[in-house]
Amino acid sequence: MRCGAAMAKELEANGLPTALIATLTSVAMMVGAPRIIRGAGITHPVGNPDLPEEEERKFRRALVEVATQALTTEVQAPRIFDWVAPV
Amino acid sequence: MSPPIRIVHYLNQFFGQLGGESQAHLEPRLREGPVGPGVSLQEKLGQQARIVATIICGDNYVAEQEERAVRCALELMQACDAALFIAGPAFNAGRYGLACGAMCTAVHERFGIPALTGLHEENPAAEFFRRSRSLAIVRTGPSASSMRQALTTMAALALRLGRGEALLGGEAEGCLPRGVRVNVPQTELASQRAVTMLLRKLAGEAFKTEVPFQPPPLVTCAPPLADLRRARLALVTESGLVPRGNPDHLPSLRSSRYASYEIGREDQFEAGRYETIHAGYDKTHALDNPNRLVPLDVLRELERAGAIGALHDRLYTTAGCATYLEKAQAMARGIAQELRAHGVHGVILTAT
Repeated sequence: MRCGAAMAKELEANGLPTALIATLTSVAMMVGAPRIIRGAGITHPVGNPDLPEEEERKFRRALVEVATQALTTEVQAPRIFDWVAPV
Repeated sequence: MSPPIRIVHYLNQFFGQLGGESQAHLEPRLREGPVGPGVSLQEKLGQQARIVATIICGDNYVAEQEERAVRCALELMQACDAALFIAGPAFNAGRYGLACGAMCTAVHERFGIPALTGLHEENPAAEFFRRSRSLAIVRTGPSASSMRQALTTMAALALRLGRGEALLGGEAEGCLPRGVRVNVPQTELASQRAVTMLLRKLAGEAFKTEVPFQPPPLVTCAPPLADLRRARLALVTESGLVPRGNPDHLPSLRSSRYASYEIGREDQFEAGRYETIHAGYDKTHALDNPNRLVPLDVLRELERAGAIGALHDRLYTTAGCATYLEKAQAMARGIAQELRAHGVHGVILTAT
C-alpha cells in the first residue's frame, strides 16, 4: 500500500497526474500522494463483492469517475477526493 | 511482593492464531491469558506481570473500519482492569503496525495507562506514530525472525512502565527515537561542543549532531489534465495483478521489479486468465474478478463513451508488499519514463 503511494507521488513529480485509489488514505496522505481516492477495500480497491455483478460494475464506474475527475482537478498538496457509497 | 502488573496484549489474526489473510476480516475478540507470541512474552515478564487477556482482530477489519474496531476493542478491555497495554510486535507489517499504533493510542487516551508496541523503522506506522506521546515503540527487525529479541526488549520496557517509570522513548532504550528533546546535563558548554564538532567536520572525521534536521517531505503535484476527453490514460497497479502463471516471475514481496503487459485487445480482465502474486492479502475476491484490483472493464466503457480520449494498451504492475521506499520510487521513475514516451497524460493507480 505504501508502495503505491510512493509510486503515485513519484509519477506526479514526473509530470503525470495520478489518481491513487487506496484504502489506507492516512498512509497515502503521510507519504504525500497528491490525488488520493479512498479504495473500497484492501483486497478489492475498486470492487464490492457484496453486490450483484452488474451493480458492482456500476459501483466501480462511479469510483473510477471520482478518480478521473481528480485528474482534471488542480491540487497544491495531498488531498483526498471522497465519495459516498450508493445505498 | 506487590501483585503482578495486569497486561492486555493485542495481536492480529495471524499471530492470534485465527488464520492467515483469509481471516483478516475478523472483528475484535478477547481471549483469556496470553496467546501466540504472548506466551513467550509472558515467560520474559516473569512473576512481576501477567498477561490477563489478549485482544485479537483482523488486519483488514482495522484498516477498513478503524473507529469501529477501536471502539469494540475498548469495550472488550473495560472489564480487564489493565495497568499496561502491549500491541504486537508488528515488525514491517503495514496494516498490523497501523492497527497496533491506533489501539495503543486509543487505550492510552481512554484508560490513561502506558502503551507499548514494536515496529521496524520502515513500517509506515513508525513514521505515523513515532512522535506520539501516547505510546512507546520498540525498534524491531523487519520480520518475525527477530521476534525473540523484540519480545526481550518489550518485556523489559513493559516492566519499567508498569512500575511507573517514565520512558524517554529514545534509542538508548531500544525504541524508535521520538524526536523529543530532553535536558541532559553536559560537562562541556554548548559553544565548546559546537567548535569540537566543527573541527571534526572540517577534518573529515565522524561527528554526531545534537539536533538532527529532517527536511519536510516535498510534494510536487503534476498539473491537472486540461481535457479528459482528449487524454490518454494508463493503468498502473501495485496489487500484484499479472497474467496467470506470472510469466516474468515478479516477486511477491520486497520487490524492486515491475512488468508491463499488453491489454490493448482486452475488454476486461477475465477471471482465470489473471492472478495476483501479492503476498499481503487474501486473493479470493481478486481471482473471482480481477477488475476489482484494476478497473479495466470500466475504463473501456469510458473510452467507448468518449469520456476519456484513450486507454494506453499496457498495464504496469508490481506487488507492493513490504517494498522499500526507494525501490518504489525507482520503479515509478521507470514507469513514468515509459508512459511519457508513449504519450500518456495521466494515470489511474490502484493499491491494496
